[in-house]
Amino acid sequence: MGAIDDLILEAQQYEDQEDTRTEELVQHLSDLGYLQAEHAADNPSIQQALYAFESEIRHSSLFTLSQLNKAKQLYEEGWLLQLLRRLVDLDEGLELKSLPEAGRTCLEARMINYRLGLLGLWEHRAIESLGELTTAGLQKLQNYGRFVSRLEAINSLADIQGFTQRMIQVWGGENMISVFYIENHQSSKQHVSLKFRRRFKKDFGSDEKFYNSMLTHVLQAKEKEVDYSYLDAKSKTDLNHFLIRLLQVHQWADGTYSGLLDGDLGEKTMDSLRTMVEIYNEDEDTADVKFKELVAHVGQGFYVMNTRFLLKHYMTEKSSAQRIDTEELFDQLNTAKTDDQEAFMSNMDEVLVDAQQRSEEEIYGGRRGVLKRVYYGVSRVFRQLFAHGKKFFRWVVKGFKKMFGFLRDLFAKVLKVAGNALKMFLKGLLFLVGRKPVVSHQGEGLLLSQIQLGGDSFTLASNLASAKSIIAHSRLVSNTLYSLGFCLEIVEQVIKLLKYLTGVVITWPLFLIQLFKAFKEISEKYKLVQQ
Amino acid sequence: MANLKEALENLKENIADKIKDASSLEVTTFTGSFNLKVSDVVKNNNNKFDIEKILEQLNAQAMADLQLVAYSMIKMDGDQANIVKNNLTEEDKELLVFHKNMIEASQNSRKAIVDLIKGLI
Repeated sequence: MGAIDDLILEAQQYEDQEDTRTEELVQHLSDLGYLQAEHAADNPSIQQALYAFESEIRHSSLFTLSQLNKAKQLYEEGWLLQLLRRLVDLDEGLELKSLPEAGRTCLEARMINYRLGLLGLWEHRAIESLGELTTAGLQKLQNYGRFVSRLEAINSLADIQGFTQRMIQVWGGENMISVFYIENHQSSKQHVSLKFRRRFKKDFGSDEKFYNSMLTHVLQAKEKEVDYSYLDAKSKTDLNHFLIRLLQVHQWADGTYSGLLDGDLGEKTMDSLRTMVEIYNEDEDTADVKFKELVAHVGQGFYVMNTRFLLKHYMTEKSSAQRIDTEELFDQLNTAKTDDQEAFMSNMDEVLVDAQQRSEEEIYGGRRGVLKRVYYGVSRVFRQLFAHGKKFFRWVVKGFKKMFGFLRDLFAKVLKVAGNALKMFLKGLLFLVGRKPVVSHQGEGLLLSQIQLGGDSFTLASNLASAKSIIAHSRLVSNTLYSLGFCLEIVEQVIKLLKYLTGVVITWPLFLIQLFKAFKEISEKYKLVQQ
Repeated sequence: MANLKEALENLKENIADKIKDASSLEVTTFTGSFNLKVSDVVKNNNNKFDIEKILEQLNAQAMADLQLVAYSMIKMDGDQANIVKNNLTEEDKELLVFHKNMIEASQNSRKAIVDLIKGLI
């Protein structure tokens, strides 16, 4: 049992920490308007916000009663957090059957306002109901995406990459060259590289009218010949802001942007774009691009950016990694040279150790009470991980230093989102080794039950236990057993990891990926509220 | 750091061994007065908790006055034997309902384990 004991102890170490769970809870409750920012560190206010949320989900059409019961049984004390995660997910989000009535306080209105707010289409007031501002935001969204209805428009944000694809189809031409102004860059010189011009011609040359107009007004060789009034007007259009904001939302969701979501391009957004280009260039299947190929300073603080190219990057990610493809990774690991295997294992362990530290400090702002907004969408994390397919193994082995920051941040999120999977795995494991009793107590009336591995069960009930507490204990046992089947399926999937990794030592990061993969697949089978 | 591969292999063997000779299923429900604090159980929740050892400990220390409420043995061929306490109190009757539920729960657990083993094979 020594190795199993070690496994249990170590898995417990990676389990979700209470502090970080509360940080996430506070973020979602604030985003949905249940909690005011000034009460973020105040426990009674958090409890009150949770109570209000729980009361609203029961009247919402977003979840069925069966889904709520299953979530409660499986996620136990973490069930509300799980539902909150689902509500703010932008990759596999929830869809509405109809728009709520105007003025009604409800969860549906909060979700709509949250989504519109992220994209800058709604001012943060009265998030709990649908008012005129929401209707105006919905109308804008409908117009931008040329949707048939407002309902279709808001539901399209349940899959932000699909929405982005639509925006490119609708506005792929001239509006996909964004214009922005950076005040403190007025003194720096004009710089429109030859590469920018070439790519511009390649991407937009087929639209002769727009191409020539850009040459005339913007891409002048001399700074003084640039039409700044044209640039100024373009930089102030709603659509220009909206597309930049959409790009920021993607960057934020990918974890490469930590600034404000404001539709303005400042240094933070520029840095984030540089990171994105670096990651893009790690891909062997695509030709390298230079940052100056995508962004150019045309003069007096005005910049132009090839937004279409940048947004397309997120579409590519989606199409190349629709599923969590661990087998390919394991296959590479098995067939690699011993030196590479060892380098991979040791580098991945290093990533995980650092990721653990990061998930507790930097992502959450480094000090208590200061909330840094983080995107928790699970599918995004794994899409990022597997979007790079074969490159992932090579990165870790060869290009480790360069990609360390990216991998560390990614695994900080893996640790976060795999928390429930780990919890379920541990539950199954403890049952299998006979250490998962069900204990109830009301005053002196202790009740404890244990089901052994072979199915034998044993219950010890104090004669002080009331009929009511026996019924409550019975319900608890039933919940535990319901989740047991789920947990055992996860254990089964994880043990199957042995089949894939025949000649190498299994490392924790790989184990966590496999664990999460199992969790996701089994959750789908159980039709759970999950990500 | 735990040797994950060894741990998973041990776990696989452990499951197979324990289920190998399980030709019947036993469900037991006791009631009584005993001097066991919740903390005695909770602190061991994830480590060395073993209900049988706790019972042995209670008996050895003469701290318990336990009575069997019900015992059921279910054989693989479907035969079932039951022992039920006489003169049930209201609470005992509730425990008997619970006991019947536990029979079904135990059968479901057995099935889950068998499914797990089938899956692994």
